[in-house]
Amino acid sequence: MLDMKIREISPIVLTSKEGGSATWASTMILVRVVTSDGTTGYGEAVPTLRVSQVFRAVEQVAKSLVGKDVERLERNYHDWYLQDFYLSRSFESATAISAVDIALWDLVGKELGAPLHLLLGGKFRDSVPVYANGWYRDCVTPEQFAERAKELVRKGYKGLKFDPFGRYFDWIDEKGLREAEERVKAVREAVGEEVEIMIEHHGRFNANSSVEIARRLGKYNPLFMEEPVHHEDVEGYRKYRRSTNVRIALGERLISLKEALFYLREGLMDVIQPDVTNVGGVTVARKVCALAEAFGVEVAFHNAFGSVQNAVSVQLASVIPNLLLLGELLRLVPVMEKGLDLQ
Amino acid sequence: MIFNETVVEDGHAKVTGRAGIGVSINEKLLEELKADPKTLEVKEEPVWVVQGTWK
Repeated sequence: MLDMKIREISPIVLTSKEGGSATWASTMILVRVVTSDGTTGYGEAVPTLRVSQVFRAVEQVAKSLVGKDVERLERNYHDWYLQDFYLSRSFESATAISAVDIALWDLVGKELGAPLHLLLGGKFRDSVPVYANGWYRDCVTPEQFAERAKELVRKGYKGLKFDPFGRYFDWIDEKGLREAEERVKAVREAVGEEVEIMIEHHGRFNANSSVEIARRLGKYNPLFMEEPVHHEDVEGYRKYRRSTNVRIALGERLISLKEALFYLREGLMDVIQPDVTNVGGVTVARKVCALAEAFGVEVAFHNAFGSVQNAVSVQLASVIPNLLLLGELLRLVPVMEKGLDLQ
Repeated sequence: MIFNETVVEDGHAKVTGRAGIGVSINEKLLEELKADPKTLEVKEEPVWVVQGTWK
């Protein structure tokens, strides 16, 4: 027994005037958990457009968990599941409990003097392959994308993810397809065949549009198409699966183990992208990874927010056998870099 | 925001052996950047795209 009680759970919103590669990257929501002996652990929640709602959700989780044992990680998640009737339907609730769960794992590790990877079974690998994300701020022309891509390859990145679709949403016309193809072609030619490229769709298209996109862009050999169809459009994903032969990656919006099971069982993905800050923290993320392993699906953790998310994602990525890659936005976002010890 | 950032070399992140999630927070900077939770302005470019690419 560690004999540590949860004394305090506090959401903390941080903003930077410097901005970031995405609007939400200039806002962070950290969660600080303090124990009865004064030890402090940190987690992170997802901001998007719901900063104030997530802040309040963390305060609500605190009402449930303050006074409970830090080390009873499964029990603490379960107790919030018991209390919140809509946890399986609420992003705000899911990201709040995820952040608290991360902080609790941090505390257990600190108390035992053990890194998270040791608590999770030990390292499967000593370093984690990462791909660059968010690197194409203000890139519009194919030449701009290509030039920035070359810089990243020179820095050692062996994988680049980018969204070439401009302002198209839900559907795309011939002009949009041509523009996207020119950007992808430019990046592929700039980086060569040895560097992986991943096409981010941000879940913005209907199935007919995404199928057309796959037909145009598949020849550039993307490692995967990320969220090619609106997240909730299951019929769209089935159509996309039947109509294309590209690899599908999705999962950043999953907020429970059983939601992950649904997409896995339907065979709608080749790569799952759980986000530890909204799928249920370390407690649920590790189960999602094990579930994916049973389905023969690889994991590419979604990791597009802040430093705490990055740290815990690296730890998780180091222990699972079915890791593909880890997304890495961190060093390209000014608010995250301020005050860093850049080694 | 954190003192001991994950080191990335040659496309790989090193896995730290420090306790817990392996980072310590810059509490001073945290206090400087702390803000009240509030609603964000909604602009033409949605928050989920990389800035300057909604064109």
